[in-house]
Amino acid sequence: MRIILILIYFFLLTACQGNESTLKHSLVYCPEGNPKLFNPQLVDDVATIDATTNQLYNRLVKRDQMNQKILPDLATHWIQNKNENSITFFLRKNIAFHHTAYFSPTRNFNADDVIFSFNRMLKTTNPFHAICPLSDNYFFNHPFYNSVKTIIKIDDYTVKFLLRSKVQYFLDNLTDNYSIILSKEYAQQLLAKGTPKNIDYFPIGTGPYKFKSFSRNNLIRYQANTKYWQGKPSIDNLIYSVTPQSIQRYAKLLSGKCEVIIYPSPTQIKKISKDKSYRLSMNSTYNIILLAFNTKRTALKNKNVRHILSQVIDKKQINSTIFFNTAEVVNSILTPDSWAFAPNLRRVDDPSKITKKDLALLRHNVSKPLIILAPKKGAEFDPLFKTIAKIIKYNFDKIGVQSKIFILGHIDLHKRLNSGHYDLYLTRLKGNPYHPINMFIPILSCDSKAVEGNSARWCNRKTQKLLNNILTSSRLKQKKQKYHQLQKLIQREYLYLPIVHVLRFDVMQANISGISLNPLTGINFFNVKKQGSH
Amino acid sequence: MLNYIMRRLGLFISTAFILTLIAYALHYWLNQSHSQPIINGYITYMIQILKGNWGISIIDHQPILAKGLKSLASTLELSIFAFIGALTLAIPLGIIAGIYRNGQIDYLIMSTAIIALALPVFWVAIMMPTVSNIFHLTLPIDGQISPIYEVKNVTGFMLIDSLFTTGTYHFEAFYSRVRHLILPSIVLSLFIFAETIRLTRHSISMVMKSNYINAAYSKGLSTVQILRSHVFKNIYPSIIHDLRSNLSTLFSFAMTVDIVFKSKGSGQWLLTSIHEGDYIVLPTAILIIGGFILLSSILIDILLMLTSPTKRITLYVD
Amino acid sequence: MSINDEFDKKQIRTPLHYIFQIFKKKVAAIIAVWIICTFLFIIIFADFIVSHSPSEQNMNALLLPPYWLKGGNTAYLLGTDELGRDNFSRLIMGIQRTLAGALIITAVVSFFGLILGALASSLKNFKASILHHLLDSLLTIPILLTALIFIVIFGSSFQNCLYAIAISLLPQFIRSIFLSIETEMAKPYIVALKIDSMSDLQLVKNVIYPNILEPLVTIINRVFTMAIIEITTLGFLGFGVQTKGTELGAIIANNFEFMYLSPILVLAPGITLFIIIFSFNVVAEGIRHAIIEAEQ
Repeated sequence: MRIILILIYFFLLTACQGNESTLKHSLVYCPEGNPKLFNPQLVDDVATIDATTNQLYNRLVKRDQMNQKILPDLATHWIQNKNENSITFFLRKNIAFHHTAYFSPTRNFNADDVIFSFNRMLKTTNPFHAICPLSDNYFFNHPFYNSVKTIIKIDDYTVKFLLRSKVQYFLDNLTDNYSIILSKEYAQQLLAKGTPKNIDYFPIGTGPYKFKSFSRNNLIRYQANTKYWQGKPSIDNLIYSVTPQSIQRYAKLLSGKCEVIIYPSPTQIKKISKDKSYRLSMNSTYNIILLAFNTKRTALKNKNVRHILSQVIDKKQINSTIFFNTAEVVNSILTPDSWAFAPNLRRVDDPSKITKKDLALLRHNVSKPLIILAPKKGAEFDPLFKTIAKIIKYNFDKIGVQSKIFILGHIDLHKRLNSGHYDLYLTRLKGNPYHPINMFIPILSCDSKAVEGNSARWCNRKTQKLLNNILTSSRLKQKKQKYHQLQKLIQREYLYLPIVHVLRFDVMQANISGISLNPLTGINFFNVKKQGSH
Repeated sequence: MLNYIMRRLGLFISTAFILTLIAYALHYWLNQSHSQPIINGYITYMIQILKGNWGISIIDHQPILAKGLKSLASTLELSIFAFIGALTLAIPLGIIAGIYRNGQIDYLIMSTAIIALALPVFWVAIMMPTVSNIFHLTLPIDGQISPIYEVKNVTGFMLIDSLFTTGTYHFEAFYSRVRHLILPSIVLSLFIFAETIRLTRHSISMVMKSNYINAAYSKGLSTVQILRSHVFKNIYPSIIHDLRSNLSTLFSFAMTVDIVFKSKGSGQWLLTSIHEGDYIVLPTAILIIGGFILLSSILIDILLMLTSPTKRITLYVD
Repeated sequence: MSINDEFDKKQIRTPLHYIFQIFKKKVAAIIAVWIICTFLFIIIFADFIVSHSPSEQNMNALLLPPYWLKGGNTAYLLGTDELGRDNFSRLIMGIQRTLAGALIITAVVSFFGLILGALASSLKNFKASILHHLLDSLLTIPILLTALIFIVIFGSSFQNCLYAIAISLLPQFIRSIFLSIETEMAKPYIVALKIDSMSDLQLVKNVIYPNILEPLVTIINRVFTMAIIEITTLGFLGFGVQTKGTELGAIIANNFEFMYLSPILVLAPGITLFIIIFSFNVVAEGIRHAIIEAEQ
């Protein structure tokens, strides 16, 4: 027995020392959720983008974070031809794709890879176009869908895009998460092997880190790409340790198990910002939490009912209670930094304006308890949805409207959304400040199902026309005007009640520097540096 | 004796058969489409089970059997650690309490045992990080092993697998695993600790009352000598036997601890699968966990029989 | 002295009475009994004790500390949670729900368990064999797993959690009762009674149960402890929370996030839970000892 005690003591002693080199060259980042897959072309949730865009891949161009200028990435320079409405890219030479256990590239990056990567999204005939079950219908809403006419290979290192849309607009698109470059050689190998699906699960790119392994709800491992064209990153092992609960992430940060975490619990933000051993960074996410009104339900068919219900929801209270004022109260589903944002939308919530007549109307229409639906897992803010729903219920209780909350896992949630058996649906919407159309179509179009975004089950000929107009119009001013109309329509008809814009918070230990964050393309660990060991 | 072993084996087979029936009933209920009659369905189900095709998880497309076994291994590591810790402390305490029955020390020890039994496992588990923080212990509060270390799955037992990585990490990965086991096994050991004290005390006081001990005393042997030569031999079978009958309760607690500490064991496996709607884990868990508990009970029976043939207590029917 | 003697003789009429006399002398057990009585009082009069409705939110008083700390408010004895709900009222309602649930489960399991246990011991040959094999296999499935299975089948509500726990505790109870009966049955005086042509069921009811009181107390106490732990564990894991009321485990899970801000949120329900289980165990121990001493 004494031996056991001595052994345990010995373990404890030696374990404290740690292996210097392993620790020094590894970085543990604790995100909230699993990436859905490893290709940001197909999905755009925070977890997927953080795990892919900047780590695994490069794009042709990128955006300077400070002055928003467009900078070269895999393209060295480009020429715009206004008359022909085209743009020609000159590609960087000697760029190697990742060499991994499952792929050994025999050639460097060239024009074929560019064409393959874009055609996967554009052409229905591409064998990889419809391969991923997650991308059902997604490509149809894809910003590229209407902007590119064709792509021409001029030589191995020159590619020309013939466009339908404006060149500047297209360049903006190219800086986004979905414009990454895949390896055509890898895709062909997979196709020959009969496992084309692997392209999204075992990724090959040109980025600073290469994929090593992934186990769901647990870990993602990356290895430094020693042949990276901008130099090898200073960290050898980049590890994502998936930790869904914010309190758990915070505890792991304190115990040193996580060196960088996303979304510390809102209750801790004040404390962390005062603590010198950690650094807090705050960024926009373009994520809006909103409440959808199911317009097909008898209780909510009447616009005035939806109006009164919107009036009583106290957004400020939600922000202070749940986000401890770390979010932004909004009136539009677009964030104020977007070019299409309608600035003159009014505030809806004002319970003091509710009259007796309103209450009578409610009593007349709402006979059964309202069903409030909210997702349980898989979304970034899941612990919060429950509390938000409770506050909404509390607000409703005050005016005598009964309601029931259903927090469902994604399978049950989809079933219920499809069946339409709900009154209100609390969800989040990922915005895009450059191309708002791909957030408006899913939530307003008749073709879009509730699961795809149209949880208000809205279908209206006028709205449809407005959406089509935006797609076809080429003048910015006209577009802007249409977008303003859409935002006003959402408010006038009370289809979706935007509640808050969630900001993104990341906390890192003070000895870590060089992490950059972009709301659209996610976190970037390329320049990360770790000083000393703690 | 061979007869005894054969009877145990028979018991194992018949009980395992009932377990598969329960698992199949659940499987049948969970599968909405029933293409064949129940009996044929059971036979096909069993053939698939015996072939090792236990199904694929809808969450991550991994084979369910492998996932279930791996999580079982993690829970086992935790339980073994907790057992060793609890027994080394509880048996001496139980003996002391038994010898000084109804004395002050006995009172103190038994109160500790009742307190340990009354602490709700999950609550202690969530308080543990705070407690260890107060004492400035930097022990890991969740997970199986530090994510820095990459340990290949060879045996499924992380403790053993981490020894295969000594080439890259020396013993770092192994230490990391051990450190991760400390807090959860302390929490889990509370129950075993309390039970063992109670059982040891009971057995000791029973044995001490018996005639042959009195005879030994009259021969002039000291208490320690008596303990060594007579008592241990007589009490350990009943302690082991009683703990064996508590195996499934213990496993229940181990699953709870594992969920709170996120240590990738059976509890977490079940809970995450249920939350994500992957209900196929339920029949699988019945077979894996139920099968494991059944197998180990019967092995303990046979071992007890081999080491102390006089104590043929049968909890299970013959 | 002689008067006292007579008094004692009048008092001690039945064995139960005698046991009670011994029990009364155990201070710790008596204190525990009073604590339990307090909890029972809380169960019955919870609605009158609470100062606020447990779901009443006060957005002007979020995460208040208990009243004895700085910033506390006597309107909220134990402070408030993140939605401004009164911790004290929630605790009281939680105790009501959890403890009442555990008591109901204990009563139901004991009732059916005693009947089935007696039945099991009177069964012969083939039927007995089937019953025991069934029990054996049910016993290999951990309670938590059984409970989870039933919750998946019946849906997640507090009521279903109670059913699930009761069902999962029953096999253990039957087995323990059966074992106690078997040991008692083997004793010589029973054999003698059997020769007197008493039927098995009669035997169990009239002779055996009174004689196995001591193990019975232990078994029932074990069922209660397991029931309360499982109710709170399932509540903590998020099952059975979609009902209107609240439950101690669910309160702990809900408040977990705010543990660093206001530790009382997690401490109060946990310690309450501990006190409940502890006092029941102390009382059970007290009764057991009293029975043993009475037998001697």
